[in-house]
Amino acid sequence: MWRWFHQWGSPKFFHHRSGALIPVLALASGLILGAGVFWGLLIAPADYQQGESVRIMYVHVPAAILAQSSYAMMAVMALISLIWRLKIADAAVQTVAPIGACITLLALATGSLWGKPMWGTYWVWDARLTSTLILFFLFAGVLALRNAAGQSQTAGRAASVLAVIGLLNLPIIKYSVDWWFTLHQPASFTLTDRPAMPFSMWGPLLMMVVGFYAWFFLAWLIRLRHELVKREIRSDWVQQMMKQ
Amino acid sequence: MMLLFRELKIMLRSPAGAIQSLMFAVLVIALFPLAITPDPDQLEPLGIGLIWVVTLLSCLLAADKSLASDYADGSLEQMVLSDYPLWWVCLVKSMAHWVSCALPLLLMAPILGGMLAMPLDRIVWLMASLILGSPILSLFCILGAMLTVGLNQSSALLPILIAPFLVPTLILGTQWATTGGEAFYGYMLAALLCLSLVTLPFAMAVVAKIAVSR
Repeated sequence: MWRWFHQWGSPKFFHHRSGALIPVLALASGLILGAGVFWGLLIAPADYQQGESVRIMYVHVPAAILAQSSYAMMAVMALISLIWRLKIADAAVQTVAPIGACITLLALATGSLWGKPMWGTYWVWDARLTSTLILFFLFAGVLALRNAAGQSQTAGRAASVLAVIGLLNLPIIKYSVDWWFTLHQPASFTLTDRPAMPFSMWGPLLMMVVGFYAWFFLAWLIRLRHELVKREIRSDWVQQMMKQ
Repeated sequence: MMLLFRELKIMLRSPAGAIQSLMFAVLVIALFPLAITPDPDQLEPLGIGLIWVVTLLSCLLAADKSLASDYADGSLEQMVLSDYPLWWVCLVKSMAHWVSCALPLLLMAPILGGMLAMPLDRIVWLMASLILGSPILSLFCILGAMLTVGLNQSSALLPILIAPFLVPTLILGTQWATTGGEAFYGYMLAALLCLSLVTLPFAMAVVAKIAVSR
């Protein structure tokens, strides 16, 4: 059984076998995202408190969920690349970092746009926004180190160590930002409990989350395959592939 | 132990680093009344936070330079290859950084606090929070310095890498000082210090091996 896992660690095997996944993921993400967008942005009911602007939630919430889980995935890949010295895991870390950073930016931007109609301001230093901002800085750190340190194997290992340290610090950062916010909560802004969402709202939301994940894996897979070809450009299987 | 003495001797022979950190801190603290207001009632609530941020920035700047000369003349590599346990080497480097950068700031805290019109009891709590918190800053800064040592790029890379990790220390330290010693933050800060002291040297050892293999 381990051999099955082991095979996927070889760039050649991974490249050949994952090719089949791409049309599947593309179709899935296209359909699900398309349906989710149509359902959420057009059909789902407007919120009785916030009106039409609640529809930003259908983009913002999946982006925020994906931002956090993509960092976790990146850090797990980094851990794998450090412990088992798998080149493919290192390539995975390198390729997912920009995707994760952009998704975090998207979450921040859509959250900011949502904040204006909801709270009257583009930015507020509450716990969740600040945590997401720090998450973006963590991504930026890994990207910056990768960029500065070059393409060598040691550069990859340094960036992987940074990603793992970031993951280990993430709970500490999250809790300390939460404590900081509960102390400084301004009197005018209170976190009210959201009423339970009806199916007509969490249905499209779920669909958008699934669609975002499908798109994320699609983008990551395409980038990873490209990166593997770039890294193994001198090997036989790539040369053969180029000739075809 | 000899390693610690070596580091301290190096520092004592050229106190320029420590003096530069001090001057930087004093200058930046002086800039704030100039930029915001000389009104003591407005400066005083900001004092703890400003001095903490200035300490953080000084530590980051000093860490950048601290490992550079060791890397350049190869003594970092020698330390990695030597018989000394690598985690101890890293811990000693962090201690040296703390003594050369954070300790002078700690001792200057009364003066910095006075510049920001802080009353004495708040300055005392500020110093207490710095005593517990600045070693954590030093540990993280040296970790970052080892990640970036030998790379020829701008000196803003280290702050970009390490700043998110310094946020919990900053929050806990400033909260503890601002609330006048509420036990929860003190315990949390002490816990963070213990955790950092125990885990970071080993992380730094891993990074040091990566750094010298460049």
